Amino acid sequence: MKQRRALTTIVGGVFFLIVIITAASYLTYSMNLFENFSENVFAVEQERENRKKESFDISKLTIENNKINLDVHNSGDIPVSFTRLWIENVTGVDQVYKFDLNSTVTTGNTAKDILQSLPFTALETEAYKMKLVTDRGTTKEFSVNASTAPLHLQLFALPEEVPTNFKSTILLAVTNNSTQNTIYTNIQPLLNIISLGAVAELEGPTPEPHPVLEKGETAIFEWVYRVSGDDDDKVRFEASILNGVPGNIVTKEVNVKVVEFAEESGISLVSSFLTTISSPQNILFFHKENFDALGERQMWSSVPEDNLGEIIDFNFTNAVFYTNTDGNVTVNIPDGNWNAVLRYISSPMPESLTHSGSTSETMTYHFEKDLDLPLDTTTNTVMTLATLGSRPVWNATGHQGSGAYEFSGNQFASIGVNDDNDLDTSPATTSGWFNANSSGPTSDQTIYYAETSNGNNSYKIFLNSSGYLVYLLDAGSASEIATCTSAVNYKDDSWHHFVALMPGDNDCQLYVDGNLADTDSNGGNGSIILSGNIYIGAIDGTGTDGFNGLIDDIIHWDDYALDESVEQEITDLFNTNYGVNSHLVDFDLRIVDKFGGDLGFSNKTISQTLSFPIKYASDFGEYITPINDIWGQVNFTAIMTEERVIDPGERLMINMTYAPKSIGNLNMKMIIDDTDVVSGLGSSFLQIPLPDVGLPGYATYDNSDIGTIGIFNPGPKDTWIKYQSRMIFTDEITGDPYAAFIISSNGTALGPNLDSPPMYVGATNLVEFDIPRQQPGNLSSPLIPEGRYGMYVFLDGFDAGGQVFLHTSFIGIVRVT
Amino acid sequence: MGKHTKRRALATVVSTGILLSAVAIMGSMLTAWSNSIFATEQNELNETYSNGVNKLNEFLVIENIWFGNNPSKFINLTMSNVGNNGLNVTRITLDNSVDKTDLLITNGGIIRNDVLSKEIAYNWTTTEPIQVTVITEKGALYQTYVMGP
Repeated sequence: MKQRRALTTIVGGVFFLIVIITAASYLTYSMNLFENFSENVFAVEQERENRKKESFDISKLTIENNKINLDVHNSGDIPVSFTRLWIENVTGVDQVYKFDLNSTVTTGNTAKDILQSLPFTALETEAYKMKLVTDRGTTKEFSVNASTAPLHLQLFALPEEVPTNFKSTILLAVTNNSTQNTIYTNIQPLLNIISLGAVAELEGPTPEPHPVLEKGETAIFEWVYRVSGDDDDKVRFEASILNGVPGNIVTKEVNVKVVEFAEESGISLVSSFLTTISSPQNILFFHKENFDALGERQMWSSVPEDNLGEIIDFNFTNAVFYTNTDGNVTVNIPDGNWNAVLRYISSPMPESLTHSGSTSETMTYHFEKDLDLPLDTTTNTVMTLATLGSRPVWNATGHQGSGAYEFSGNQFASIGVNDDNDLDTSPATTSGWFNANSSGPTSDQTIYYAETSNGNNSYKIFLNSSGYLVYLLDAGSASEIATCTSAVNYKDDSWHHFVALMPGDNDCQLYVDGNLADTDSNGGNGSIILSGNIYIGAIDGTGTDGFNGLIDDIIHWDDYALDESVEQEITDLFNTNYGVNSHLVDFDLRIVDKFGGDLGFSNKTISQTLSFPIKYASDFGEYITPINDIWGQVNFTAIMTEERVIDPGERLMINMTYAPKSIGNLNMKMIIDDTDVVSGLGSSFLQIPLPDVGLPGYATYDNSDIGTIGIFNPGPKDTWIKYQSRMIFTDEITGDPYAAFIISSNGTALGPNLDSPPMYVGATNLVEFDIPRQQPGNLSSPLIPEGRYGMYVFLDGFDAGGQVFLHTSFIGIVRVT
Repeated sequence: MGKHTKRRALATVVSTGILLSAVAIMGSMLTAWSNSIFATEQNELNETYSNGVNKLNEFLVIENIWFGNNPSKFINLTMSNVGNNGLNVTRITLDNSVDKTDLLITNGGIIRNDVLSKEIAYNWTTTEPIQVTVITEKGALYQTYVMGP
């Protein structure tokens, strides 16, 4: 029995073993499969992670010569391979094209012009929708030349109300509010101008197309228009996007609000106790007078009374202006635009580089305007552009967003030689900016060339055949030749700054982009005798060795070598911005207490803006002694969505503080209170939303005595006024009227048979008026009580041409005490 | 006594044989059963594994969709296979809540790194978003939404 059990146990055990082995095999197999599966999952997960890491941006898209210039930046963590491009012509019907690509971009790099070889003709006038596809299946869609859906457009006019002939800045903000992650490229704004009586003339450049607009981003396009017309004339601006969705248009109107200035009114007024007031209540002029203005200057709705303005040099002082205070008046100023208009001029170079005395011989050309005779802002020399095909082409946004001249190989400008550039004695310095075309020729390309009488000597700054910048001083003999050559090819379509120093007659130093590139010293004294002309862009009047590219900001010191080792003057010059960021000004605009103290409430603040950029403006004339009509204009605008209230006893203050840069600081000066600025049509002022009552001014009249005002005759003819002339006062609150006769002029009483003495052109007559009453001339009629009045003058007279005039001018808000 | 001893010996042999046979039969049956079970499970595991792995490695991208008008409205759908294996598109549906098109695809094979374009007649509108669904043979489902231009 025991044997049988043992045997069956063995047999059973064998079978059990078989089962166990089978089970173990299955288990092992399963585990292997599981391991394989895990590896697969891991591999697939890795691929998906890679897809997530894959990222690229469209960094540029333009269309030139029917070819698409597309730059793509790999902003992800792994290389990206582009396999396909889809192009759909949105302008046409059923025009869809698929192109296979084979372009790889490594991490952090940009692939340029990846579609140059594409057999596709792209037109600026047609709209395209494109999609790039990578080998991992990532796609990015973008719209070219168009918006495939309405974009969020906003149009701003700053300011919306301008005196005639003033500039208004038009800003178009285009926001990509696409819900489908669409990227818009090569966005070109369109601005249509419709005259509603007023005329708008473009001042400055037309904005360039915006290359790439990602979802959520906003592109800003800016135009500056000079608007002219009569009071209440308008011009409507309609903005849209080229090839955009029909109806995706935004409009804005700019109104002309005539500010009647002295010269315009035929007869105008200045006063010995009242300053003439004839501007609208929402225009507060900056005045030079500081009486009752807390030691600063007055700001009120009174036009400049004469051509004796004041120039505020920001290098030495802040520009602070206060309105007057009135303990009985509350002024409510609705929401809207607060716009400070500054008339200013920029220094031709950093103050530290401006010299006087024997080292003051300089010339500076910044090319801010396109003129046949580009202005030397030191007024020391005269440049003449060549004519016809030899004339360089002005580029409005050339360098740092302001003007430059473009040369195409045979264009040039010439400068007459005089003491300020004749190189008669060393040292000397010549500087400038250049941007050479990468496709330029392999021959010499001249930037600056000074002609000599014998044809052997030369003073030349040029790019040689290798694109290296060369500064050559050749005074004749071999020992009198100094050559400085850079080690870099500057034919690269980029802006570079050069400073060519001649410390001694036959020594040179060449700085490029603020760094010393080369020196050569011979120590000789062979001077270069100039004759004829200095040429910019070529070596002669036929365009020989012409430059290909842009040139800007040519400055020459004839008796001075910039000092880099001690004064860092070359670094300073290199970092000077002659473009849209020339100056930085802090604006503090708010309501303060009667002592100028901060009230501490946010609703008393209009704007506190730091480092507001102001564009270079100095190509209108000289800087040291500014003359008329040279002033640039900048608008600083604060947009308020809530009203502001000036309570009794409070003042409005604007404080403009120059924010000097640590290097490359360029000074600016502002003109205020001058009727001659731009033919008497503009000075610096603050324009505010129209208040319910006028802001307290600085004019007062004591009703216990007769009043005196001045009448200024700006011409063109001598005039007389008759005794019927009146002063009129209207109570600002009740509307009650009062009036008074003008009783004398320059001490001569007026009467029914006695007119005023002649009021000669350019002269001011002092006229007296009686105490205003309800009925002028009736001595029992009530006198004008204390209060705030709108004041007018009515003049009845005739001029030297025999013409009669009846003229009424609003003087403004006057306090009668 | 001797006769008894002989019968007992015979009985022992027979009973041992029977016992062994029984054990062998039961063992064989158990082994056969276990083999069968394990083989079935293994097949199912194989199938599940290969399906899973294939599905895992399948990756289709709806690369581009454009809307045509000529001669009548249609939608052109391009899919690309960016996975590691070939795949087979079997069905495409377009649904904009107004109009639904369910299209069975018979030649929808796409080898790795290749694309397949299908032009489907569809009355698309510019106001109703369209749900585009692509189903592969392995049951993977890819969806996107588009709107007429």
